[in-house]
Amino acid sequence: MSSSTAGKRLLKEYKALSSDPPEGILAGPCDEDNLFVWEALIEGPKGTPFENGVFPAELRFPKDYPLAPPKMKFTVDMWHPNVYSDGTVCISILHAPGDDPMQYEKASERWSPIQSVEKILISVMSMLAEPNDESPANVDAARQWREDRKGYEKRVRDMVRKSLGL
Amino acid sequence: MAEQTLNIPQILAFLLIAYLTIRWLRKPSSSTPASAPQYRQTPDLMARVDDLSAMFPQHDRRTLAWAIQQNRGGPAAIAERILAGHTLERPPPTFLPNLTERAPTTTQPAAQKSAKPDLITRYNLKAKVDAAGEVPSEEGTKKWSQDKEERKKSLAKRREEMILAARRRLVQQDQGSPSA
Repeated sequence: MSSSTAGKRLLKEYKALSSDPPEGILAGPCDEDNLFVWEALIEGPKGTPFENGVFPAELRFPKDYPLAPPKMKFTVDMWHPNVYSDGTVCISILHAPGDDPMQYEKASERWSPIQSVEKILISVMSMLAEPNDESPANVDAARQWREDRKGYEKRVRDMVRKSLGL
Repeated sequence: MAEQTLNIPQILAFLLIAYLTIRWLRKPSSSTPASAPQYRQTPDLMARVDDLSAMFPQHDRRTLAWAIQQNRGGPAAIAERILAGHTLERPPPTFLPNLTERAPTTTQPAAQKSAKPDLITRYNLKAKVDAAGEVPSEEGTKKWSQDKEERKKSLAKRREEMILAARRRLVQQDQGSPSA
């Protein structure tokens, strides 16, 4: 019952994202037979070292979506303070209001059923442009971002080129 | 008279109780070091653990450190024991040597090396990269189709388009500024 609610909601979001996609964002189920696993592509924001990059990620939705948020994991190499080395994205919108591992997030920033896949992806896009230094998921990337910004930007640009086979 | 004979056992009892009380009171302070011994950390412990860990990465560094502490025979004897198929003794929970320095630096490069394949390879776009050149292929439709298969195709098409467009922009940027 709840899983069919989730399915309906996901299909609705898929439809909205396909008919009117936000700039630089693409998302949909990998296979419509299973609406709970999506692939999303995010373009690197302009004016950042991620510019010109395309970053695919996998979204895994829980059966009680939209009560609980999905999990998001980049499936390309990523070098960012808020992305774990295995690609898992760590931002407040992906955290349920109940669990706040870092004890700093405002309730309004966290997941709630009025959020959506589109809002997640837009948040992640702006996260690429502006890392949140308060909760580093990748400590090494966070340190480089803080202490050696040039080195960080170069590393990201090299990563973008490599990901596009250049 | 009767009072005197009663007094001696009373005094003895008092002395015994006093002795036991004092012993009991002093016990916690004197026995703490015995139950949680201060593990002295020799300066070369790290180096020895590193050597053993390089030979036997399947063993936990803490276990190896404990084995070195316990076994005075040195790393060679421990290596022999591992090779002979003996299991190493599990270190007690109180044994917390400072072994954090080398471990992350040795795993970091390995993690970086396991790079994921680039998007062109992953989505099989090699032919399109070579063929398309500057000609942008037709737009993937943004319309919502009633057909599941068509929707799937459209999504795949738009995905290809996005990746190829990004690559074209990067190539153009390179040609525009050769300094890059």
